[in-house]
Amino acid sequence: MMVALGKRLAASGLAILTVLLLSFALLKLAPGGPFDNERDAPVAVIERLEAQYGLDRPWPEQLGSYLAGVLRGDLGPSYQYPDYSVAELIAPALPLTLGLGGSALLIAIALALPLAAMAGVRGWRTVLHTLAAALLTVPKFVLAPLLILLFAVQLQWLPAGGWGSDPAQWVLPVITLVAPQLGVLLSALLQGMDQALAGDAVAAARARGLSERRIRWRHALPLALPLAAACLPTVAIALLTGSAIVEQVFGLPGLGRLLVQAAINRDYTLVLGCVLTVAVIVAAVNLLAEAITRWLDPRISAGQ
Amino acid sequence: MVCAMAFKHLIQRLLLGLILSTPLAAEPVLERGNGPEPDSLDPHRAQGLSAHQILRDLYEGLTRIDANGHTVPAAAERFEVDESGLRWCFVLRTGLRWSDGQALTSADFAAALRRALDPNTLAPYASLLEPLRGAPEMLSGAGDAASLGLQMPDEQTLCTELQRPTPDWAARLALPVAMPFRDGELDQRPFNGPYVLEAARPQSHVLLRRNAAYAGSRPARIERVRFHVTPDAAAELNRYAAGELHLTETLPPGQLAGLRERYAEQIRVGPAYASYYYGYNLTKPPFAGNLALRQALSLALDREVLTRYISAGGELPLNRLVPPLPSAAAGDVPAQQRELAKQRYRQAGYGEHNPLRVELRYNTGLSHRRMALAVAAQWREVLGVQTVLRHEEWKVFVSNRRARRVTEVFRAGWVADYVDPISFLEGFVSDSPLNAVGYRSEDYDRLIRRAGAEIVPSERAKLVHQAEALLLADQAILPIYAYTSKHLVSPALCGFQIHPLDHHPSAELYFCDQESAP
Repeated sequence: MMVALGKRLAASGLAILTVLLLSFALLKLAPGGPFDNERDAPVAVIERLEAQYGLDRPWPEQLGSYLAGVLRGDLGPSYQYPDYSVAELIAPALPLTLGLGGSALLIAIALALPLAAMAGVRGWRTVLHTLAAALLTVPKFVLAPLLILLFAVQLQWLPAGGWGSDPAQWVLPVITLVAPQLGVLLSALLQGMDQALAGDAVAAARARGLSERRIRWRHALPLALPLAAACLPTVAIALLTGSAIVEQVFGLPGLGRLLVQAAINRDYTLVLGCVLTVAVIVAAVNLLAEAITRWLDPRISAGQ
Repeated sequence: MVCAMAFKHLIQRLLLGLILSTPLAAEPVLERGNGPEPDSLDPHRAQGLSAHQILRDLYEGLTRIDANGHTVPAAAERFEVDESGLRWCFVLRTGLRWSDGQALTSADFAAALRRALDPNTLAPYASLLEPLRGAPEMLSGAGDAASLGLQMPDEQTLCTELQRPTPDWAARLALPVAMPFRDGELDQRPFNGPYVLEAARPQSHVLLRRNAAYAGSRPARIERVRFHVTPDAAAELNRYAAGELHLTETLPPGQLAGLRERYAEQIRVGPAYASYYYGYNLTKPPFAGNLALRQALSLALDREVLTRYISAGGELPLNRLVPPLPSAAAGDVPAQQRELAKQRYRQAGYGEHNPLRVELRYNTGLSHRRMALAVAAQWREVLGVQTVLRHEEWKVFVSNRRARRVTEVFRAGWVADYVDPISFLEGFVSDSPLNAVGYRSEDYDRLIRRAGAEIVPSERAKLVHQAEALLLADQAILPIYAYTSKHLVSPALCGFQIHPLDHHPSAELYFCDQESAP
């Protein structure tokens, strides 16, 4: 067991390192640098900036000193925002993105389960499949402005964006994030329910004269869970990476927006810091999801 | 039944209270959109206009630029220049203090100039302080702070010695790069402006609080100001429409007419001291040494159409680089001009069967694309030019533009640092790092040098005019329009004034239901 865990951790570490190396190479290959601006600073200033950040040294040396810094827990300074270090920029952004994604995930699960259980009721199956398909097809960058126009601009019930002390500022971003992921979870659960309802376990339960309601919740739904659980890492990762659009549209100071802005500004260290953070979270989610899947369906472990 | 109704009512109230608790209702905070994320709140390191807008609230320089574009005393009570134009003395107002209570003296202003000119500070605007004696040496790392032309006869007076007469010196000192600065952690830093920093949340907002120790000329009337990061104008408009902002940084491009219908008096559009133009790469064919071609392309444009229907934000058509102040009537393109354009085009060696094929490069963005399409259409209609549009991501665009290797015609623009034509013209001097067109003219360089040092205003204006005329006669650039500043201002907010440089200090603003007197 410990060996298996060790192997998994090593594989995750390798994946994270690969992602970092690829990002570093892509950043260096991308034309334009961090100090290219409309109003170019004097050459002397740019040269000093590059020297200060070590950008005048060869690539491998830059990469080496960056990785050494990461191992010491130092993500470096931000080139674009000299008032802050990369860690100081990521620290407040990460909880927002995780909180937003986490609440969206919980809400999606809380909605998907009872909806999927309804699949056994006559007439509901088609409605639910249509709903799942509709949720899956509406892109976030369409849904978000529509929600803003309706609830913020027209009805003026909810804020159009921003981030402060007002809890209402959560509502529209979370709805936007929930919708597509609810679609994913619901489709997976519905597929599982279809198989379960046609399967032996449900037939046996019916033969024992159990109520339909009990059959749906206690016999069919649990059989559908592993399929949905298999989707969870994808859903969680989609929430994390997909938050960039939502944060952009609603003006939320989260990790996704930070990453996009950093890439636009060629803020190399900030891009790498954000990529590293996301990569670590994705690796952790994958490990966790695997553990959950094994727990839900012991056959996976047994078959190993 | 009554009980049930009361309960329902209570629940409704609670829910509504939770949902509708918008910041505007909670406390009188001035909520203003401020465009992109401010790059730094260090006045000497900040480069972006959004950072400068906040810094003018946090700090007060010796001078400032008023709504008429004039340089007026700010932290200084008065300033004077001697007859040689080389020695400028600034007398501070009495009783000035930092927000931590410490006295603010001429030594603080001198220290700030030394810091800004220290090459290790990496101040992007430091070159604007070059007229100061000893500044170029210090910037290049050779000089030292002691040899700078700074003298403090007393705590109230700062005298600056320049190496050449610089009539716009007082205007340059209004820039954040000359503002006083005392280092410290961002949340504990002392300020000398009408506001102090209360909180900064990167990518979200910067919250300022009134500076109780401020003893300057313009005390703040609004207790708190929140500058929101609003990089997207459409999203900013939504937030204004939802009642979350009192003041926007701009308007989405091309929507002025529709917005005017909806917001009427809340829309405030004014001429800005900034111009939008196209540059030619003068170091390469087809534009190197081909004056007639450049003339043809310029003559073929109908700038009236371009501003009325394409930029559509109240912009002023421009046939020159420096926008007029205040607004003047625009020229149009009569039929003769088109004929002249065709004539020049033929002179340049092109024609119906041998059309010019040219690349027009711009940074990705809807408004630039619309303009490029319209310009290409006009060139095609009048001359038959075949234009290939190339859009590039911002950093790629600026680095290509500077390198002058792949560019042919490219978008450019300039927002003046202070209200002086020289601010537009200096960038075209042969060795300027801003000279993306690669213009080289000894006559031009000489005119700009002479204008920069001329202390008689009428003579200076003449030289500046000659320099601009030369630049235009050489067709180094293709002017299109003068920008406008565009804002939505809530009816609840008073004190807003159109400003040529789009400076809007929060201290000038107040809620209309407050006492109007400070």
